[in-house]
Amino acid sequence: MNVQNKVKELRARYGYSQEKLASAIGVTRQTVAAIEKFDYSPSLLLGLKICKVFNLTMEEVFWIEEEDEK
Amino acid sequence: MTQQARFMINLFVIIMTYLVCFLAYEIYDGVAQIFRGRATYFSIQLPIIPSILFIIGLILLPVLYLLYCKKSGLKPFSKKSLLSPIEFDEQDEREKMINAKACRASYIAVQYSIAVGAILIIILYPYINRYFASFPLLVLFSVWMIQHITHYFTFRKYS
Repeated sequence: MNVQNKVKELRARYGYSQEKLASAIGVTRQTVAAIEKFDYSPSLLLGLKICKVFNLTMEEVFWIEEEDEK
Repeated sequence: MTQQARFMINLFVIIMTYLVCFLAYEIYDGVAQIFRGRATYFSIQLPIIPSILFIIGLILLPVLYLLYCKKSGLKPFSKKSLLSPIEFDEQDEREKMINAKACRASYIAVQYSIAVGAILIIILYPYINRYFASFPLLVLFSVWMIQHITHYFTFRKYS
């Protein structure tokens, strides 16, 4: 199971740069890039912080993708 | 880039520390010969190549350190630039996770390298102690170096 997200899409929609989003949620720009590339699954706290920035619910930003769905 | 520079400095420091220990051992051995009554006059012989390498390293180390401070924007002789290893530079949860993986890998590497080092000392030392008495020091410092190398490359792999 992999955690998928639409952080990249939301960031573009809301006009956030990686740098700006990173400073808003208190991480480095590299971490935002890793989340967008699905290389890193953020913690619950970080996920909630991202949702708060975009004013969305967790389900609207993150979801689980089963292995055999690919 | 900063991490790479820090890694190079760490390796450099390990080699320099090894050279210090190696030369100290040679001096100690010379002094021991006098106390054992095997030497009639006070003389200490130091191997030329390690001594020259040590002197070159002694000149290069401050230059490398100041270059590192300049590149990474750290204040020279500040606590962070002198004391903190790469592991203390964690900036967020992802770096903490990567660091945990790197520490795990280096911990495993040290476990195995200590075992290999001990076997090497047991097998080889009786044969080479006449020519290379400080061989256990080399093994010890190699383990230290393996720890740093494993940590660095694992960190790089995940970041």
